[in-house]
Amino acid sequence: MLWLAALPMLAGAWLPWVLLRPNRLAPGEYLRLPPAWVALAAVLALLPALTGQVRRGLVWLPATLALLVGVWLLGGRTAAALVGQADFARASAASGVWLYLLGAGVATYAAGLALPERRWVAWLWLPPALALLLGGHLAGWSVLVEGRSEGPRWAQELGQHLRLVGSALGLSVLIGVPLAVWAAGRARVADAVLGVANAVQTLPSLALLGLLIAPLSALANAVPALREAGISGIGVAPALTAMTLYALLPVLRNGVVALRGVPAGVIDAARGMGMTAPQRFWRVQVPLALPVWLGGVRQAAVLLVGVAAVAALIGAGGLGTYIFKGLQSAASDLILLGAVPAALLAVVVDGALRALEGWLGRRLGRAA
Amino acid sequence: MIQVEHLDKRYGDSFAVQDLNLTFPEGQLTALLGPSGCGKTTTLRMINRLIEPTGGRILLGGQDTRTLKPEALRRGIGYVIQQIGLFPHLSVAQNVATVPDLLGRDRRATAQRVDELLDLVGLDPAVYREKRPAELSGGQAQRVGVARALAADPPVLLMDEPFGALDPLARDRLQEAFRDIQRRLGKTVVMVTHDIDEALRLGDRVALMRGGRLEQFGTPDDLIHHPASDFVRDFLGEDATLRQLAGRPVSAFVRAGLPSPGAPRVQAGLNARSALSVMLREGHDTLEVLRGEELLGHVAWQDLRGKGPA
Repeated sequence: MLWLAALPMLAGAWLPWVLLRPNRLAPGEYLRLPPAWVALAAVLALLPALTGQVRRGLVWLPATLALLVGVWLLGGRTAAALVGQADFARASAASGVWLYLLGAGVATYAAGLALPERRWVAWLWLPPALALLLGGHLAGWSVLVEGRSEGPRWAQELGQHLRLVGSALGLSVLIGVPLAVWAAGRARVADAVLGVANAVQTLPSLALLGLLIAPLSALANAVPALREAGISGIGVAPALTAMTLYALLPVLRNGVVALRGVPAGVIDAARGMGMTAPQRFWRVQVPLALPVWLGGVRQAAVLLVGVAAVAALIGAGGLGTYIFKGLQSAASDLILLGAVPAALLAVVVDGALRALEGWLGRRLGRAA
Repeated sequence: MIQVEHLDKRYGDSFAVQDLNLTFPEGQLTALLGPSGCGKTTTLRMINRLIEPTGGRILLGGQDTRTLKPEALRRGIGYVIQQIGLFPHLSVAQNVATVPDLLGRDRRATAQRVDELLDLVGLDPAVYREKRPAELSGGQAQRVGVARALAADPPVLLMDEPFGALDPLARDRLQEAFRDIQRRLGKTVVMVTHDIDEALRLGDRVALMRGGRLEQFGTPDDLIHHPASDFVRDFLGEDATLRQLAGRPVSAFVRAGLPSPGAPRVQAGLNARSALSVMLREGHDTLEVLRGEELLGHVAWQDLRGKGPA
């Protein structure tokens, strides 16, 4: 895996690093790294794999270093390219950067896998990278130039994205948890409920959004009170409906599986010792089901971050707005302005909920 | 004392238990024995109302169990099952404290009680108190299960195949340990089992069931020497006597006085079946029984026939 990661990094060091264009849309010229930097990048590309031959436990050090140097060079080279250029000029990351960062990322991830007890070393790059970003070192990078000109609007769309995900997740938990509790005790009901939720999930998200436009606008036309409450065929209402339906399956499925996974002997013992039904539920079933159930909530959350990007198509806003705007005007910087934060958001949400799951699992004696 | 009167449990047209009349004597262990599907577990679960009878009634210490709320009834009855059913998310101590906590007993008194009980079932509290069920062997887990059932000091203990899931070695040890505990505490115990050895060794009384009805109720000796039907004789098997002997030390049969000269010597702790085997091997009708170097007396093969322990 480490040698496999070295390959794109070597290619990246040699390939063009920066695309300099006189303005956002015009064609431009590709700039490579200066020879000294190419040499350094190449050394850093090989270092994780070489370290891996000697001490697997230390791979994280060169891998993290390579990743950070990649980010740092991106900032430095884009800034250097813009010197003496007009205000409209844009310096984008070219194929070299992407390949290099991909390889370094794989190496860092592999370094984390090699240390199961200290997985977190795979995340050591994050604080310095954030410092580079917030300290303005990356200010020359075209995506951030776009971001600066969008400024408050971008923050607004990010907020909208988070609101969409949070609301849909909250709604699906509110609906899915009681439904799962109700269905878990009844085999036939559970099958039916899971079947319906499964069917919804097989619909492509775009199709589901489209399907909801007609009935919701009809509903809004028929009941004026709903229209005044902001419900219509396009906008937030259908997006939220579709996203909630989407997130329902993982919440439901894991809930049913988790609740049915509580050993029958444990329930029988609880009953036989005189626990009432609510006591059995809160003291036994919930704590034993929670780690697996939370896994479903995590899947739903990650899924929703992605689906929320599509929701921009029907006017619900969110980071997807930039992706579709960028696609329409063939401005890759704009696409990245939406896509990169969305991807990071998914990774962060996944990591945070996974950590919570692991902690709960250990506390509740499942992973012992 | 538990009295079962005209107890019925019907599912549709078929009876799981039919017109069962039985009195489980106070302070004794009654084994509910029988082939699978004979209604023994159903009977047990009707005592603490995990299953509601369709007819008849059950009196616990003279009180009809239907006059109590099921949860209140169950908190006053110890319950041990084959799957053990410890709560995996709680420590051993928290598991044992379950019923006292449900009853709202004082926390500090309960903590002390937990330690006593762990001691009683042969687990060092300092070592096991904070362990999780996943860290225990099957035998240790069921010891905790027994401690948990005894935590609120219930007069009655229901056990559903309590040692059925353990490996033979752990089962023997736990049966032995439980017999000691029962000798000390004198609970009214109802133990469901399909294991004839277990019923004959542990039971003061045996209730043999078949097809939802009671086939015979009596002491192990009664069942072996005076079977009420061919079914009882067949179920216990031709070697029932040997099974029973296997569960008792030879010292229980000792008679004072000197044996015939040249009798082989055995130790008092040897089980009676092995003692009989020694007689057969050595071709002698009597054995000299020693404890260490001290002569306890002698035992003849006639003594091994059906006499209960002193």
